[in-house]
Amino acid sequence: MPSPRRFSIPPSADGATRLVVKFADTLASIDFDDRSLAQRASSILRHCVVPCTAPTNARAHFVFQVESADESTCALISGDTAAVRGLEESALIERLIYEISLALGTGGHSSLVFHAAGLSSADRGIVLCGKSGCGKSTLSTALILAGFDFLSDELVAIRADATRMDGFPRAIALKDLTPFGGDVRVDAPDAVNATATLNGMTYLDPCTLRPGSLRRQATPRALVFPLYSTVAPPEFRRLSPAETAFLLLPRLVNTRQQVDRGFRAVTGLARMVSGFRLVYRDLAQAIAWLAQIVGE
Amino acid sequence: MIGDGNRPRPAPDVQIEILDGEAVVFHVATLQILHLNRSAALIWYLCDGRRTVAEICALLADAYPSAAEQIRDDVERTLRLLWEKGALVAESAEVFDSTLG
Repeated sequence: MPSPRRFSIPPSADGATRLVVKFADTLASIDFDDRSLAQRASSILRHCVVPCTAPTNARAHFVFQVESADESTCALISGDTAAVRGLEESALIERLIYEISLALGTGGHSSLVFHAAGLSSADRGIVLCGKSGCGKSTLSTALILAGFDFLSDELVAIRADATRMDGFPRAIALKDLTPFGGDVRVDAPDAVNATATLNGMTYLDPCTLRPGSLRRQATPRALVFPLYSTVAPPEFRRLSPAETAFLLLPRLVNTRQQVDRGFRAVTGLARMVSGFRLVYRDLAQAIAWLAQIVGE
Repeated sequence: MIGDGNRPRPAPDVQIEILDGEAVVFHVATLQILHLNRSAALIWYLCDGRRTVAEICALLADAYPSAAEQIRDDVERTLRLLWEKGALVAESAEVFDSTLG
């Protein structure tokens, strides 16, 4: 297994604002030369941020710098090479979130990292696996409102022995709030700081949806493959382990870190954790089905 | 028709895992993944590069006499799928080629 590239976290430059974010056993540090940019990024990453009180002793896998080039453009620098320059502020934050998610998802994990959302009821974790657009974020939001705890909207790290799952609890990215009508409380007292809008995407802090809903870890109980559809008949059925592995392997993010591209590890996981196919059009029905499996 | 004398075998770089009688086949180089139901998994296992297609059909017909008439079609359909997905190679690929046009 290749070793991840590691960087010592250097002291931040004078006047720079630093965020250090964590996902499972991987860190990334981001230095901003503009405090307002740091605050915008922090509104999305706030629950992933860890204290950085001893930077000379800390180690990170990834280092990012954000520089304000002039009044309207910024540069995002990753590691030793200039990544992107000339970005408008919102585009930069969006790109930063993407680059950090990519770096933390693919780098340095002993666990299997999946493109998935993670929720839990007490310690019983549910992993929602699927391509972008399949309804993971919408379902996650509905589940938080229904009392589930939130681990992640984007990345879930699962130990190969299925004993633990870790989330990357950045704000939930929603393309569309209409399925919730007035149920999403974007007018909560701290919503101004907890919610951001970038290029039409709304980022919601899970604690704005329901205070205390954040959870760092859980024990994986179910691997769910959801699909929101107004055409296909609603369905909730247990998958065979082979079906589960077949659907799960394409969602593995850190394939290059794994022996056999993660094939044995993922099939092993599919033996240990039950898989479910969920096709829904009614959120209440989907929540009721998912509540069953964590209540079993 | 796939030639009865052909001896299909797993392609290099292909991994298989049997889970409760079903199988997941993974081509490490192309990242192609297949899910095989129990019947297809059984056919896969018989493709060892030594048995001919005719011998595979005969073995399955002996094991499942009530389905004997259907077996040839099932074997051919499964072998063709596995070959098209790069999971199987044939001793003489042109025999498969000639059936796919």
